[in-house]
Amino acid sequence: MKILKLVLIIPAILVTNYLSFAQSLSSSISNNFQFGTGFENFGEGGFVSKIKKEYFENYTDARFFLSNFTLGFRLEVSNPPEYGLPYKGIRKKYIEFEKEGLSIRAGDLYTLFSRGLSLNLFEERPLGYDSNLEGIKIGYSNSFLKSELVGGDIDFLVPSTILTEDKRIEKYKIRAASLRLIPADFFSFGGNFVWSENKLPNIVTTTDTTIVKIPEYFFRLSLFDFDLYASYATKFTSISGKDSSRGSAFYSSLTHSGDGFGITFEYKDYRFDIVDQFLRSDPFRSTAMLSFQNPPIVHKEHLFSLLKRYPHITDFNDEVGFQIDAFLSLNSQTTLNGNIAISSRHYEYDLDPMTFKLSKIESWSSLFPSLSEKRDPFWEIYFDVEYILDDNFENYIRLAFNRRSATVYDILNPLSKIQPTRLTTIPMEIQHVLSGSWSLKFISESQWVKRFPISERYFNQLFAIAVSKSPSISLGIKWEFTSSDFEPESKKNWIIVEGSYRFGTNHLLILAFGDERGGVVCSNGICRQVYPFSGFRMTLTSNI
Amino acid sequence: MVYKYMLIWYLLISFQFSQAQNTSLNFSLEDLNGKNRMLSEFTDKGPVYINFWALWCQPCRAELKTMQAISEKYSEKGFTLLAISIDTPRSLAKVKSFFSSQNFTMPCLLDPNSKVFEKLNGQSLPYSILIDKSGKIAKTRTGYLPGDEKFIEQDIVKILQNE
Repeated sequence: MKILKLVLIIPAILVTNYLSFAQSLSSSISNNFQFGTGFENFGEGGFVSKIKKEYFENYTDARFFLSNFTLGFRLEVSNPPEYGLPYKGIRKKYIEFEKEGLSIRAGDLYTLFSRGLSLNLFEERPLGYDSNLEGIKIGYSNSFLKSELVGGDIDFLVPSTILTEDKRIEKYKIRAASLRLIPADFFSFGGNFVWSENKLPNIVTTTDTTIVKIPEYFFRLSLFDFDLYASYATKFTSISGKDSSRGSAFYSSLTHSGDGFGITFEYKDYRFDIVDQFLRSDPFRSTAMLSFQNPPIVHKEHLFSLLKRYPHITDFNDEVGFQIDAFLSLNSQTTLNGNIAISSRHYEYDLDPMTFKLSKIESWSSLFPSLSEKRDPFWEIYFDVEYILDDNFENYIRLAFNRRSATVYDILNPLSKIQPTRLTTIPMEIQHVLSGSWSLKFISESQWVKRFPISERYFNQLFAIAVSKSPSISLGIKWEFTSSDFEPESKKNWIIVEGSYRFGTNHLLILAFGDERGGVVCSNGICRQVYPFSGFRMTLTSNI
Repeated sequence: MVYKYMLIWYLLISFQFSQAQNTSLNFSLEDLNGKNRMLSEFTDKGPVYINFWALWCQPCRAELKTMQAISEKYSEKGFTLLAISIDTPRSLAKVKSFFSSQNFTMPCLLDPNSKVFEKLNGQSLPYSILIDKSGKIAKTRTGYLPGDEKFIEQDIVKILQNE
């Protein structure tokens, strides 16, 4: 790493030195300030603990451009952060050179190979997720090929352990290459290869050293109005030089796009590490999919608040399924969107009551999702219609319907073997422009939930109303109600007042005061529990 | 530590204000058909309004719809509305389907790793940049409220008049 630091620092000093005298220098700076004070609530029913929550974060991202060079870094004070570990100082440093299809970047970097089956590095700050790689990336592309070489180290803090005493830090040393050939405009194909040496803390407080090799092959074919993409990756793992395991993943999408119509079919068959329920209880097993991989989730990402709650969490180690998503414009005013998604585990298991052993039932049907409760099925139907009431697209009404079911089959628990959740949600959104730059938005979301064995049934309702005056002011109030008896503090109502003010076009101030219900927040198949919060929040985003 | 931080921050801001945006902007991304497109292809014709968006961003979709009409109005004068989707692999496959269903005529590029978005200072969506014919940034805009399109159009007209 010392050599890497020298590689970074020396050009940085030289470039900075040169920059200070250069006339063709430009720069960009963005700043994000967040402050919050209030209380977070844990637990449910009568068992509630309420703790003081305060955070102060400021991130300044600076980039300096000179000719073909870019020098960038982040100045960060997060003490304490909203979610994550405190930090004060400079991080995310890099220097990059780009010219005629060639790019060389040294320092902190992110990258994506194809659709992420073998390598997908990114940062999701609200989730405390950061698979930042410290190293070098060399890329070259022209009209016939695209290639990339990546090498470096990742110290990955597992987000779900951020609030625990024993924080889990996974260490990866990565060497990776990607090549895509484009012989014709309508056809391209290629391969990726990732090699990594990993130090993964295991359940008995020692560390597993694993070597992983992930070859991946993919192609894309565009003919007439159809686009076909397919990708297949295999993961070979050897643990501490002894045991080995093999997993794989297949992803494919087929899109048809016509005049006023588009439909996409996506299929996933993720079997990076299929294990029985005993072994599944250890999410950090060394044979599981690694943190630098992140394939597509293949189910809908929702726009409405209540639909974002109770999300399906994709198990990249053992999940097969598909999604069909279609958009149709009936005319210039009416757009329909429909979505169906189904997924499940690959296999059912039998429990031997004498030996207490689980045995997998092999079946050809593992290539398709099943609605059998023993395979933990998830399914969802979504439909929405948007009707625009004027020629300026300013007044509209959107009505949606969602029905969702998720089942967890617990073969080891005879009392509550099947734990299904069923949800029906009807959201509605209306926007009306009052006059000139004033507009009004109203949102209603009604949700019926049936959960077993926690509670039989309950009902959630959300109302939100916001008044905006372009280009600067927006003021709104959101009220959420539940009939559930299992909320922290036995709370039934949450009311929050939100306002935003835009200074010029580049500075946006957002203030919020009140109670937030919390819930699971997900992105890229990564989720975290957000605890109910009561208090004040402030965010100031600036592009300087 | 706080003082050190504030000093660096102050130097950065001072530096930023002392600099003119005098470097032409250029980058290359794939379009919906997998073809590499350079920004200069569009700036060669005239000013470009880059609109970063994603399928999961409702205000972005509203802005694209209103901007489509403005784009058609000024396209003969060389103006281009350029949509750049920052959908990640989780929704990338649906972008083309959505785009064709809306009968959008503007070009759409894909930035699934947010490389260009971050390079151009993007922090949250919607985020837009107006670029003049020489490739220099004339204005950036964070967020979108109904009615903003009138102010955006004024900016476009102003830049077209100056060229």
